[in-house]
Amino acid sequence: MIERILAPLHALLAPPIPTCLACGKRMTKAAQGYPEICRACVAQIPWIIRPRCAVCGRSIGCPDCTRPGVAASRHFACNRSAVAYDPLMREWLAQYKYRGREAFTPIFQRMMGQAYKRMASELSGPPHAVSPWHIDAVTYVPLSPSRLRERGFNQAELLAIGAAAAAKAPLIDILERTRDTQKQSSKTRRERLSDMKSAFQLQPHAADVFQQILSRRRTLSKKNEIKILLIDDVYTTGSTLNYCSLALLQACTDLGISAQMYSLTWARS
Amino acid sequence: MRIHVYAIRRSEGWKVDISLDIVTDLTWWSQTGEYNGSRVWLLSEQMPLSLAVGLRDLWMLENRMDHWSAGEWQSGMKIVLSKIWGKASEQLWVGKSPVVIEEGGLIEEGAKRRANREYIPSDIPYLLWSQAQGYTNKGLIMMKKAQDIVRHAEEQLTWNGDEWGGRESESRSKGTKKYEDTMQQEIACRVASLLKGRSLLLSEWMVYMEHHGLEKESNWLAGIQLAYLNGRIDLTASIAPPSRGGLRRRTASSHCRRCGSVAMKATRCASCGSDACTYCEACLAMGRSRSCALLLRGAHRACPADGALAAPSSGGRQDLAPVDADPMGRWGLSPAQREAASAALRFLEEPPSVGGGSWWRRRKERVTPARFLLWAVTGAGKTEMIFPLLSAVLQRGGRALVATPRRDVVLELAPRIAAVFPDTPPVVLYGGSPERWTAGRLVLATTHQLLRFHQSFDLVIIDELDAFPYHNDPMLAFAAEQSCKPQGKFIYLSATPPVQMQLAVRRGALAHVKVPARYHGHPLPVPTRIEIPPLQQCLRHAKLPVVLRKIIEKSTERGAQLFIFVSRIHQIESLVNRLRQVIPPHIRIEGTSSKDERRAEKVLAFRAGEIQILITTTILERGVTVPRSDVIILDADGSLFDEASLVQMAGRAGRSASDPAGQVTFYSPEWTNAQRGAIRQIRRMNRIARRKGYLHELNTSRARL
Repeated sequence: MIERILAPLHALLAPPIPTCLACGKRMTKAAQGYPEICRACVAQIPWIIRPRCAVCGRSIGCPDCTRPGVAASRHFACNRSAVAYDPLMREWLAQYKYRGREAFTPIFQRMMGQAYKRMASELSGPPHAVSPWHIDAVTYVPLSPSRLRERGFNQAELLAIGAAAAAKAPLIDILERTRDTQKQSSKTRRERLSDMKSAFQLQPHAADVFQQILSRRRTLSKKNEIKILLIDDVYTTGSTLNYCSLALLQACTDLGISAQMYSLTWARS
Repeated sequence: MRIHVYAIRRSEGWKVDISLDIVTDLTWWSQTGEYNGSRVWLLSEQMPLSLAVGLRDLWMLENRMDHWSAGEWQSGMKIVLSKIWGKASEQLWVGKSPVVIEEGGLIEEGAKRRANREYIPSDIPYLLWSQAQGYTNKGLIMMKKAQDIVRHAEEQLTWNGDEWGGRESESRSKGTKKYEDTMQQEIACRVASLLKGRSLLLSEWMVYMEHHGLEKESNWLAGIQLAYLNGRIDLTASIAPPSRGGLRRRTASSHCRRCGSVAMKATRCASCGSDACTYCEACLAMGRSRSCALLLRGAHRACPADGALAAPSSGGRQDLAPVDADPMGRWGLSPAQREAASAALRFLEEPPSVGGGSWWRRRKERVTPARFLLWAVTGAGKTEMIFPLLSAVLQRGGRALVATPRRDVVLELAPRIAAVFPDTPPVVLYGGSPERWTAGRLVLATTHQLLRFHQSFDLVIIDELDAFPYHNDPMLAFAAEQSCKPQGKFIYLSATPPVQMQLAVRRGALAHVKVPARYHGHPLPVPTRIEIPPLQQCLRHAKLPVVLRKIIEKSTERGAQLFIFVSRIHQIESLVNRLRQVIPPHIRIEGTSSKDERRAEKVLAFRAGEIQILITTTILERGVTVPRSDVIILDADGSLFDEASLVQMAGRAGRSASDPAGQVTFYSPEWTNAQRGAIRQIRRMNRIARRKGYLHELNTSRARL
């Protein structure tokens, strides 16, 4: 009884010490820009500051992108990723995606924003360039309706919100999955590649959306070219992103719009 | 998830209910003859579960609703929902806030579309059936769906071929309806028996169901619905809305029905379409509990037969006679253990009481499990004392649970308990345990696993209740309470009960028994305190006090192993290095902590006697027992060492009958209340033991089981 009266009083006098979202330890000082996680955890984030591979954004040498014939079948201009997919990041993503710990959302969104800015400054070339690189619209890799219902959220969509906010570009929802593919994480490379073809298509309202994007463009120079940024959580072989890009490009061609695809993922394995 | 919600008028009045399979409900109500004078309104075909459950539980329906129109039902619903959730109900109702990206313009197309597409068109209530006109058009469409499902089921059976052949033709002659029902009843029975004593999220249920051979293809949703209509299971949303008491202000936040924690985190949810679907962060490791997640539980019905322990038959009364009666005989207990075990057994035999304590608690008439504390000193042989208790419960067909916060304790106890109860081998549950879904009458589990049980056990024994993570975690206490039947019994085991519990003991509010002596009948080693400078200072000057070195040498000379506890992990390594310089090299010194990857290996080596001196932190304060050992606690005045952990660490010494007089030394620059309290507690226990005559008796030959 007494406890019931005193408990709120105690809570008022000694507010609970926040704990780090990632490691669960008590935080004395929050890290700058990431108040939810402790400094030790922030220091461990394996940012990809300077990608080694100019195509896929990998931080280490990349045999896939230099393989002959690969460039011809790649439908996006290049990919960049926020972090390297090390065991710690794997654990974070598992917590987020499979356990459903959505408290990670704002952290991941901020990471995506940071990654977008880094990407933009890299692709713009030297500072104060005449026409800095920027994106016209942001979209994301969709989940199948059944998986979306089961999980309750699409991590790529939430990540895309972070990137779109940083890019000050509209976030558009125009892709859809035509059929349920198996979980990517449980497949071999070859299976992934063959499984993905024709798994994605555009939603019926895509044409309207493209028209709107064109009409809202700030720069009037190249009238009929748009740049679209595609977001996903992890870049492994790049096949998912590639097929999504293909679907988008085809749709744009059909509408007489020339489009360029870029991709940005949270992690690069 | 989303769910059907309907309102039905029966002779006693209106009632709102939820349905996973509306056809089952219609069939059920028509067959149980409850349609009288009635109407059935379908309020929604796909309402977010949290709202649906809110309507079912909190809407006071009145007879004037007999004449309500669709519009009135709709606005009625909205009023109730906004009473429960306040303004948030709009957000829950349907995703209303599409994400707006800054650049003053284009909003996310998807969110708008989603809002239009999914929820609004279907939330206009319609009449399914009324006594005057029978099924309405929409009702007929609904029943048509029903018949499709029946036909579908039938096709499946025909397709199954031979084994169903006979029954199929029989069913044809009787008409399909009857056929479907018996099938469904069968599934419903299985559902109900599987869910008895369980509390599972739908996702957990799917795994559990398949583990027990109920296939995904079977019409298990209808089975669940039927079991629910029969009152054998409860269906609810996993997160409860903020409650409003009569005079009290409404509590600010929702809470998790599974783990009791406050659930703060609300996010947009694609499963139910709401913009603020709350989920529980506390029990996330056991699957995500959220507002729209279905929680399935066995319904608790006050059923005396399986509720309290059945009273012993006429002759059985003698079994309860205290010390020398037969039930104690086979366990080989020491006198101290014996007396405590019989006290606990007497507690088990007591009839369940209606809410002990003060009048206002009794007034609530809530039956809560009775509690009992078995306060046994370190090395008293707690495990042996619980054997007679488990045996008593199992013999009467009851269900018993031994839970402990620590997984290594579970793994250590399992073989010992299995050896004692060969007929009912314990089901061993912990994170990642292969027996996760096995059913059994004797369960050994980590406290987290209790979240999956609901009013299941007659006896719940919580071992090491003051250990991490159970201590100070209200979620685990809640889980433990939930797992016990309301008329069941709770027994806590501890050498160092938490302060509140000690106070309750002193007030006489908690039934308890103390086991003041170790099983070997020798007194507990009383710590001595020696004043030395702080360890940090000693390490910095690379100078270990002579007293410390001497006592280490004394221990190693008599062949004892030595625990050295320090309060900081970073001190371990430098202390190990320092000691290696002064201790002869044939003596192996190691250090370990929670950050050490080779911890398990080192602990094993220490147990095997290969390591003579182990330097560690409070992580090894309990559990590790070696026969001939001394204990040194450095910086015993450190804030991490409270009374309980000092007592536990001191309890590592003198565990075996062959070397009962271990040395325990507190080294510290200052006296603290914790050190004084620990020494006082140990002395008090020794005094009680001496007074009761438990010490120095000739029962040292009793081996531990």
